[in-house]
Amino acid sequence: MVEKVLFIVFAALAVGSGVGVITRSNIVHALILLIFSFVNVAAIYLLTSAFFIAVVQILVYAGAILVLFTFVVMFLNLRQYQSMEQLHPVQKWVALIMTPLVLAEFVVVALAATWTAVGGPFDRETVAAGGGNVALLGERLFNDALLPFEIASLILLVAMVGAVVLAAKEGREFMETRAWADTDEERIPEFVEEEV
Amino acid sequence: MTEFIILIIKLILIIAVSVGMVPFLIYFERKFAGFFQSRMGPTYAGPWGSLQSFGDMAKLMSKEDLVPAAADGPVFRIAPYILFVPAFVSMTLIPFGPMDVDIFGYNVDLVVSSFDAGVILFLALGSLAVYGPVFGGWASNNNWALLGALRSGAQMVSYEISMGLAVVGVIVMANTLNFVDIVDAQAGGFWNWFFIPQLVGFVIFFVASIAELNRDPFNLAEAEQELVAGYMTEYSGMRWGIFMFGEYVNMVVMSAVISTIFMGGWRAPFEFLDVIPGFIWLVGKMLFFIFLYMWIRWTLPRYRYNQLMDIGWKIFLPLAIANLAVTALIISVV
Amino acid sequence: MPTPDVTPIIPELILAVAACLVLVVEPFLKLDKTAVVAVALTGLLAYGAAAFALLGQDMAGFNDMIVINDYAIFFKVLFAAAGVMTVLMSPRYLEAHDRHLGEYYALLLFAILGMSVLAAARDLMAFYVGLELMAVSSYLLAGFFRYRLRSNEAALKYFLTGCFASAITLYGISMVYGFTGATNYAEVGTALAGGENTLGVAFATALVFAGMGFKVSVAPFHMWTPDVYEGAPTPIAGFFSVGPKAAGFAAILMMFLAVFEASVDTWTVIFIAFSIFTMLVGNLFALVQRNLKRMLAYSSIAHVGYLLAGMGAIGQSGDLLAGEAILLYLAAYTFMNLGAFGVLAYLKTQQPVTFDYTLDDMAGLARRSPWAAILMSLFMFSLTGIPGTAGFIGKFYLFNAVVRADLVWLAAIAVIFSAVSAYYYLRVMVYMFFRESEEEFVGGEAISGPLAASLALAAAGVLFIGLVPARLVDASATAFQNFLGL
Repeated sequence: MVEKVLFIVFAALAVGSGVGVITRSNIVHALILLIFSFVNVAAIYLLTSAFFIAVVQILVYAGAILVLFTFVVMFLNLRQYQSMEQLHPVQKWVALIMTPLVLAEFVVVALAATWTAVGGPFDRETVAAGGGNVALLGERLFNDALLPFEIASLILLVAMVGAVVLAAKEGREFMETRAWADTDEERIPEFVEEEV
Repeated sequence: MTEFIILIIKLILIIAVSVGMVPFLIYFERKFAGFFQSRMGPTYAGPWGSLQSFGDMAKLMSKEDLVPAAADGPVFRIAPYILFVPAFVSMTLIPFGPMDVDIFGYNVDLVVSSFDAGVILFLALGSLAVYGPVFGGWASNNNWALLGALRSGAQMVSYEISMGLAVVGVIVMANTLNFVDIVDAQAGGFWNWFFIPQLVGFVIFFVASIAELNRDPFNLAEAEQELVAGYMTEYSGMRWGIFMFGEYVNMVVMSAVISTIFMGGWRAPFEFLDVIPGFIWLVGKMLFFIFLYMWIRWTLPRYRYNQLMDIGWKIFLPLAIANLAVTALIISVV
Repeated sequence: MPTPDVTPIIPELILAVAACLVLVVEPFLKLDKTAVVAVALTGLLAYGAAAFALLGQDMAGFNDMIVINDYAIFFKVLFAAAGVMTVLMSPRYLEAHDRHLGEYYALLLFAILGMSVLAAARDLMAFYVGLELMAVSSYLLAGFFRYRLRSNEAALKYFLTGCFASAITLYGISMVYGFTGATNYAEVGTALAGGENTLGVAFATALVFAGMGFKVSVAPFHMWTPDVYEGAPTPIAGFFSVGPKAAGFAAILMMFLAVFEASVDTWTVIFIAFSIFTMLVGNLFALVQRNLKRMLAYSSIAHVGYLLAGMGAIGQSGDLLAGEAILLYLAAYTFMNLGAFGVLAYLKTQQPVTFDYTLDDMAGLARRSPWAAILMSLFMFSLTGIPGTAGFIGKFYLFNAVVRADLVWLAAIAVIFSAVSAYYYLRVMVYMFFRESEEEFVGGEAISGPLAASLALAAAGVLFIGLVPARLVDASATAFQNFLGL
């Protein structure tokens, strides 16, 4: 009973702040609401005794990813673009028709389906007997799902290499001597005077 | 029902300890500052100036609560309080004594929550603590404040990584993520404490914790010579006080975490000293680390920002990874 | 803890080691990157050789997540060939753009690694991480010329649409997991065969199809293709047009035959409908392109349309023939399309500033650089499907399979569109042989070095498949039958 009430509270907060995220025009307010929403999702995980997942939810989403979001927002100081006009006014109307349609499809499918995966092999007793959340999850992750885990680490490596490739600064001398630096359209962005 | 009441009592005690220590810490800090700088420090209020903090508090509370016109009101108002959430939650993970103690006929664990993934929760909460200064600085709508916020955010994010990797060495040795079990793994005397085998991790963790706390020599976020007061530039009155308060609470929590992970937590350095209750040992160790923080703050000059980032990314991060690799290798071979 | 048997992923391990080695070697080099190229080439050849050595093996590993069998090996060897050709045509091209960095080869190897996993995956999780590894590397390669606005645009468009596609695929996969509680292809297939959740499975099928359709550029999910091919470095554009497409079809074949077997009626209709639309869009838009990279992009969309017709034929008849034909077609397509992009890369290195990939830039090529013109003609003939070239063999087997599946009308449409495509392929030759260049072209060197090796390999592939197709036909037949054995 208590759990049900708590679930409703957290779920309502998560969904409510989620709606806030997409309706706020101030992007920092949207970010704060998003963090709040993630924390509430973590709380729901806690209610289902998925402690490790809850903590990772906070660490990865509320902590790491949204800090980066915050940085980007602050560096670009996006407040000044709030009133930017929509580039494709027609899209709004298309979206207005398509979104409810897709939503309706999802709802119909979700209601019509029988979800076999609900529940899964682990309930509270088996988790407690198996040495707790962390131990069991570790076993599954590093035995059953070892291959995807390792490939996921490669994805992160690629992303890191890519960030370096795309962001590393080369020496000025090198940039000035490149053969095509004088073609008009494809000049080095750093050298283009900002047009006001 | 009794369980619930005991839980509430424990929570109140935890909050009381971490908040109650703060006025004294501020007093000590100022006295130490005086000592290190060959002056007296506060002397007027109360015997040896010991009531100075309370006087300050009264002053801050009676000041006007200014919110700049261009500031983002709600965010500006909330930001100072964000620091407290991770601090208090982290404190609930710290064991103050053994499990199953008999107190007034009740069976009590001297920890609020023996959490399976405690260490990771601590790190996760640490990453939430970034938002206090960052949103405070942004909402102020002031160049210095925004710069301070960005610095503080970048610094905390950078050092969190080394900090997390430094703890992993201990996790590998203790084979658990639970603070209670980590303390148990250090039973038997100070030679079993993790700061000896994990000296590298210990040093990295301690230095990174200074950066996390935004204290000298890493207080770039509020470097007064460059940024007025960093992210706190526009704050005044009690709201500013809350920021400062939060930083001291975080210092208390951080010292408790370091004591627990590397210094045996509530365990005595020799087994025959176990007659002295565990929480006294823990508070003693915490005070030792708090003293270290203050000593360092008033002795060392501030780093430059690029030096700060160099230390974090080019020295501590590789060192922490190497430490982890060596630890894991030794553990798997032995 | 049991040590896993690594036999099924030996080729992938070699590739991963080579990619990391590239990253390690690169910082020690100054301007001359020959060592990096050598490492990458050796890695790719060793990868292909290791895969070839495992031929005939049939085993699963890592909790049945990945398999090594003739089907996977067929694709691995194909990827190795595509990778070798791409690597060989890159050094001169990158030097001409002052952006010859070792990371390029590392990213390329990682992309191939992802494709390799994708083609061998027998589990939804392995499938998805393989897809993402391929995709993330591709986004970065598309934007490799970070100082060029076109390249930035390409990377951004590819990234945004790609992320969207991944999310849609993932959503479909998550629904499948929800219905069955399993991620292994065989288990999921068995669980779905029960016939429950018909509506849900159809929905999931559509989602996965849409997501994968983005990746292999099925119209109407093709919008990103021309812009990305135009902006990306030319060798990479060539690689995109063959590698990820082949990997995508390898995964589509397995997914739809093993996982969505239960909803075969649904997806047969989807495939046939989208096949017609894709052929239409690809061929019609290719007609009006004057930029060769964009033309090749639309032509690649058209080819995807033919391949989709093959998928429709499989669904219609359950016949093995169409599956074999798809494999054969992908192999033929790899050589001819990559070859065409290779010629373009060569031309760009000759005139780094003025050459802009337009038809007018091709004028008079036969006099300036006869070899380039001859090779380009060969690849264009092949893309059209002129007998004697790989393209003909591919189309012949594919359309034959479609006819055998009682889809004569679909085959007729495909043939008509093939005839239409002759216009824009042969037009390139008209410009090369019968138009005079307006400005006088000075200098220029003959095709030489690694680029020559790359183009020779592509031309040899086209002619070999075109003239002596028996070997490859047998290979794709064994590969596909082996795959169906599961």
